[in-house]
Amino acid sequence: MAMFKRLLKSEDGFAVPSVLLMTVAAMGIASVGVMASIQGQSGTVRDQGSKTALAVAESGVDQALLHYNRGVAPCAPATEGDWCGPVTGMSVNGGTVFYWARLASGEECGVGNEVECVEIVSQGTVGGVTRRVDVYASTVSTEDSTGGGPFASASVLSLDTIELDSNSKIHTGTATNGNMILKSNSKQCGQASVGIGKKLETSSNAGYYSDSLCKTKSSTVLQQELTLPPVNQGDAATNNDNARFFALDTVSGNKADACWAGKNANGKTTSACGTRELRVDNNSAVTLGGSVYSFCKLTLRSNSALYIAAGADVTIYFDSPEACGYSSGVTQLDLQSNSRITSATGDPISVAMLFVGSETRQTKVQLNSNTSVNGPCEQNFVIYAPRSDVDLDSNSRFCGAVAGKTVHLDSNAEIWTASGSDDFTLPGVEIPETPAHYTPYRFVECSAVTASPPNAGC
Amino acid sequence: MSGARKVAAALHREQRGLTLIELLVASMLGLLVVGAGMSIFLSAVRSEPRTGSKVAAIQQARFTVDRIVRELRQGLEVAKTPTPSSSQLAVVTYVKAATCGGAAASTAIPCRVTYTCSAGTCTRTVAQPDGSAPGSPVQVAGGLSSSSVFSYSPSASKPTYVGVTFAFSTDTEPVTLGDGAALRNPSEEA
Repeated sequence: MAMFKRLLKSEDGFAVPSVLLMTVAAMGIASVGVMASIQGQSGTVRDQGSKTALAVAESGVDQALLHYNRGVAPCAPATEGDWCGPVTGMSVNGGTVFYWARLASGEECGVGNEVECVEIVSQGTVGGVTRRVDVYASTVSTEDSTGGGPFASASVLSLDTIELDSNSKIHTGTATNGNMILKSNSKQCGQASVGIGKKLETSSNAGYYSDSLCKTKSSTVLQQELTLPPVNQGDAATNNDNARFFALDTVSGNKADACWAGKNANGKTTSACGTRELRVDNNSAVTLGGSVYSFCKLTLRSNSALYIAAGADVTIYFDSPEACGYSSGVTQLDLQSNSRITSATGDPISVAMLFVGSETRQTKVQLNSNTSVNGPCEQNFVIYAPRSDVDLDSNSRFCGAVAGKTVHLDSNAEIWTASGSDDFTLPGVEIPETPAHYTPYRFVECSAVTASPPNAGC
Repeated sequence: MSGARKVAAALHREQRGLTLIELLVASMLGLLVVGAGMSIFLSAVRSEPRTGSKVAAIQQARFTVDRIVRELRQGLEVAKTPTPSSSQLAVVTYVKAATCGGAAASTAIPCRVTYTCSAGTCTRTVAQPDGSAPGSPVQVAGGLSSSSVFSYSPSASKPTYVGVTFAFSTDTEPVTLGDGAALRNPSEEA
């Protein structure tokens, strides 16, 4: 017994080496698991870093665009068209971002000659991970429209929506504050601009083209705010050339088929037209030779025509439905069945039809059934109706510039541009200068290494 | 006992080291630990080729997901032909190449890139933006447990966001790589 106790007592060194051995073994096994876990997560950390760096780089683009859309360039290049920057000093999401920017135009932008664009290269770095992106953003040039007319950048304008249906076509640039909707083989041929956050939607073989002849497909839709000031008719309602009917502004054809202010061209009272209403029917025609007219309604039916004297510069104001005593839904310009408004001789003329409209009562402009407002597109016709719904239907054709609350084309209707319509200025109204709105349209990731010029490797 | 003997005895006692029982116990514990380690090691060695190829496939898939997402991010439109499906995606996007399907270049041009997944593999084909002159398909992912890779939002006919999911079956838990991107250069006609 004593010997066993002595042996047991002499085993003092047992615990320490055993525990050490066990500890080392356990640590070895645990470290294998830890190392495997670290290795497994390294890829995830790398992915997270690259995504964050990319987001930081994109924030630099957003900041640059914010500057441009406020009308203030973020930096000044040494010479026009050169790069400026880097714009530094920003910290985003724990990372750093800096960017370069330059203004470009024409073919460099690749979206049409009338468009200017900015190119921004932004570099974001987070946790040692760097990402670089190159973005082009464009807008319709407002340079020419500064203090100019409403059609300086596009010939078809709408405050709400532009809708094309059933083979209808627009052969010029368009701009709307809302969406542009193309359906059933319709075509928009020319640069389109929609409202901020709005879209150009196509369906059923409808197409969007960059050129007026519908040859080159396009996908670049600009976004910008559109302002259409109301018509200021001044004293046109009382001071005008209405008295020319029908002594000076004569009728060709059957005089009984031309009606102005309750009387036909024979001087007989008729219910076919009311106060400040001109109506022409059945192959007859009226030739306008004055310069300012004030109408409540103009109706052309059945092969009738409204001719404009050669070289004339005519402005026709359509008064508000309240002033004319109309209820909501009245059609103030109504062309039906092969009727037309055109130059009497084919010589250049300038005709502006300006609609006062109403905020509360709907007014309409309608061209229907093979009607036309000028044929060869050499004249300068303008329909400016920012409070009216403009509707072209059934093979009708308009040549010039149109502005409406809504613009709708259906059944082979077409709008062509006319030379000079972009020079039209709204009488008595000054168009306020608005900063251009740049919308990104080309996003490319670059190699992460900073290069010279800044867009090298993009 | 003389002084010299006392010193020798003390020295002997201090240098006695481990007892026999200590050595036996320690050896047995050591053998157990080494045995367990060897068992794990041998198991790992036996499964290494299978695991290695699986890891390589996942790494390759990870690279491919990165590439697809980057191409989607700078994409113009998801092409309507071939019809977008869970196993096939054709996107018109910017590719850094001199020509579509040609050698790499520093600037990017629009090309149509088509990914086709079937029987556990995915291939990538580069063609002109209109789909003409397609190059040879190149395998970019393998070992997938499902060919259902792509998802579209809000719809396959007009997607603005495309999700990418690579699924792998393993001996333990299945591995899924998931990512996606919104098209930054959307075509209004898409």
